[in-house]
Amino acid sequence: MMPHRHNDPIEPHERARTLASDSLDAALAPADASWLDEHLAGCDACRMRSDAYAANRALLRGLPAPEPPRDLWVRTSAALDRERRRRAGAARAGSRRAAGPAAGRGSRVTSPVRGRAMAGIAAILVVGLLVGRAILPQGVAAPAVLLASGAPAVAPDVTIRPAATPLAVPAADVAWVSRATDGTYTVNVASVTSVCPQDAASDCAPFDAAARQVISLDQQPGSVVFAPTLGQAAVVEASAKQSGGSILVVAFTRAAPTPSLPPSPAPTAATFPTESPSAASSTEPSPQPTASTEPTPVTPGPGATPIESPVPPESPVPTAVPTPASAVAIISGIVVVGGDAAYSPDGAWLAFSARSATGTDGPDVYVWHVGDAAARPLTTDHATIFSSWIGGEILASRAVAVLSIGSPSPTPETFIPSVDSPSPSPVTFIPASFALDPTTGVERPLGGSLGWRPVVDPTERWVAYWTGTLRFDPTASTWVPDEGRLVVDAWRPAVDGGTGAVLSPTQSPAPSPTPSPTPSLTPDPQPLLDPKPGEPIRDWTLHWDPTGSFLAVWVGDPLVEGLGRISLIAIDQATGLPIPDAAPLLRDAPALAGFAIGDGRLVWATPSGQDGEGSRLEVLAWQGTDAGKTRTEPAPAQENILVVR
Amino acid sequence: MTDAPTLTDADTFIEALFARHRGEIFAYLVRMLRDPELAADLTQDAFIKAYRSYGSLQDPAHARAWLYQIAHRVALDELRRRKIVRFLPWTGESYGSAPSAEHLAMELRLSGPLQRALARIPERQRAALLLAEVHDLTGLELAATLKVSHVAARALLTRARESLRQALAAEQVAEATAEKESDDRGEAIGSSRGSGPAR
Repeated sequence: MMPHRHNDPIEPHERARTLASDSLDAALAPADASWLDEHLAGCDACRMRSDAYAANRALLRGLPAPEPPRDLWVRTSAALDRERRRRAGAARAGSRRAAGPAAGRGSRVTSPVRGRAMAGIAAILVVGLLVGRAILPQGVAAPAVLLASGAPAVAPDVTIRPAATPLAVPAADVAWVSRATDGTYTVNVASVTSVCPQDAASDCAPFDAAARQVISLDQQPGSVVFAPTLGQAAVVEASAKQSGGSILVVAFTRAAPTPSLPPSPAPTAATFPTESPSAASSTEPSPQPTASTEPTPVTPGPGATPIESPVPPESPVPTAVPTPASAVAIISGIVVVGGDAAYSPDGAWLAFSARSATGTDGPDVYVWHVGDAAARPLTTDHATIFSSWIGGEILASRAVAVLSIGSPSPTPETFIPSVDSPSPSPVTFIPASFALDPTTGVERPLGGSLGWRPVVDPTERWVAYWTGTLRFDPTASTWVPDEGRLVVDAWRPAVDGGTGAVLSPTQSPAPSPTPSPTPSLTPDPQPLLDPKPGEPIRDWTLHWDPTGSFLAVWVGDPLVEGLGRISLIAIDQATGLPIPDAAPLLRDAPALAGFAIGDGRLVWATPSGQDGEGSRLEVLAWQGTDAGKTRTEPAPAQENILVVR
Repeated sequence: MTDAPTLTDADTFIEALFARHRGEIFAYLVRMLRDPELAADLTQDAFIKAYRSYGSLQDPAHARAWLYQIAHRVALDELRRRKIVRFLPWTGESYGSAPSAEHLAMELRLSGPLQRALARIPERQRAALLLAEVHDLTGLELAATLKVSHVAARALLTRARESLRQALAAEQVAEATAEKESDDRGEAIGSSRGSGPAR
């Protein structure tokens, strides 16, 4: 055999081996790639070797990921604490030896390297920095828990009991309404920074211990939604979901801490009346305990009654002295129907749909611009409901009539409901959805079939909606779903001109005709939940997470109003198909109406009576492949918690 | 109140780093050392060392690679220490306490042909493979972690892939041989029983 000389060109098989390996890490240069292909075609051994490299990579990537022991943080933190003390002791000794300015020059606190590092890491790990504070283990004094707002919160000088290593998650506020001991209702805000593994959720201390009370309500709210910008909430009175009531807007100082629990509504929280419209029409607001802004008179009355003063500007500056809020009724004498009232993503608008409390008119979409005196109707057909926001536009739905005998009506017409004339039998009603400009009220047709109450994910790739037939419920004076199902579909924003008529559903399981079906882009609408025989879906709420990867669905119990089950569905981003067993998964958990979903976070309230306990706020959080839960202490029996969105 | 020292940026930084990367660092050390309890201790050591050498981090964008570099050094130190210890007379004491059920379960999971093959190849090659293939370090990060040039890191990776291929092939041959021997023993027992007196 000839010896391999130093200046020999690289041996072809060796070159093939190198290139086969390199090709796994980066694309080869075209010349190298074609050479390799050619060589492998003529060299079985080299081809097998190349295949083996790729196969072994797959094997390596399939290695199980061992989980660190759950006390790892406890151990590491204790060691870090010892290191800190050692260094602090050394620093003190050093300063005694060399007192004066020189002693500080070597300090890490003034290190420019560290300064640069922190400036950069602040951008990368700003959330992580907040997270780290909340997972201090036993024996370590808990420092002030920082909130996303940067304001100091309750800083209990306590040691945290030893427990399983919590999963750190990006810090985020959760908010809920609970009943205070004096019979009022309190809006609470707490920051959740860590959760425990789902099988050890009880190891996490209830997070409500550090909650702040930001608003106090005289009467039970039906729903509360925070504006995307700090310091404003829209409160739908409970009566506004049943017999008739008001929607109020309240400004508050979200970052103000309260010193102790249990909550006392005054003077730490702003209080405002939530009387029914009839009683409230002559009611002046309660005096504000320590008003720093002018009290705003509340003059609710039937319909959208203008009021004198707009909502005062927000006070984003954190202050130790709670700033009392003012409340204004932006509309009264209505029953909210359709989707939950919701702020536009930029926080400039609040939209909802409502019908008159007397039931003489069907539903219309209303908008309230922040700063305006009152909400105003955007539609007047008494047949349109609000669904959701997409960017700066409103998605709304209305029923359209189609002939159920013979060919469909060539031009579906809006059906104006009447209590005296529920849907005539030869006509079937199907949903149609469209976009509405909140300023002008101009309708814009949308492509595809969007069914009833479509909700588009924030990344505008997917849309979830109900498809099927509708019927007019004369008792509720609104349209309700009849036969159909919830689906998820690809979002098709573009539409070609059009007449304003909205296209019919293509996936309706009802035997009704489907007039001029529009070809659905792939993928076809996929069912979200398996329909349960004999349990038609009547009430539901859909919300996407900010990434469009998860969809939370609450479906109401057909018999008990306000009670239902919540599921978290992962959506395959390539196909739009719900991923049946993707973690983190929540399937049919008992839940009260109203939930909130954020980035890696789902918050819902369990009904009282679960496991013999009162209503709790539950938080499911996930980050990467980690997922866990945490929750509040249970509320007293028979008292249900309301999640604030 | 406690007399705990005031928390500094370094404390906060390390805690955040721990929250984000503890899992992967632990996994890397388990894969390198095949001992979960030891890996947990060394994960702790790695973070303490990171805390101490916080000032050496030039660019926070490279914090992850920097942490891997520290963990890799901790792992190699431990492997070298083991080699030295191996020559000492056994005193009857093992490292740490008796293996827990978790440990045994982990050992079982690690005892597949792939893990045995990984254990056969040189440590630096094993590290390069794990860091590149499993932990997704880029070529530059791999070079920084292993403290070699980019070209040397690529060459090391090529050698590692070839070593693993050969080691896996050897494992498969050994496994087939063991199965055959087992079958042969079974047949031998069966035939000896079969040749016994009939009842």
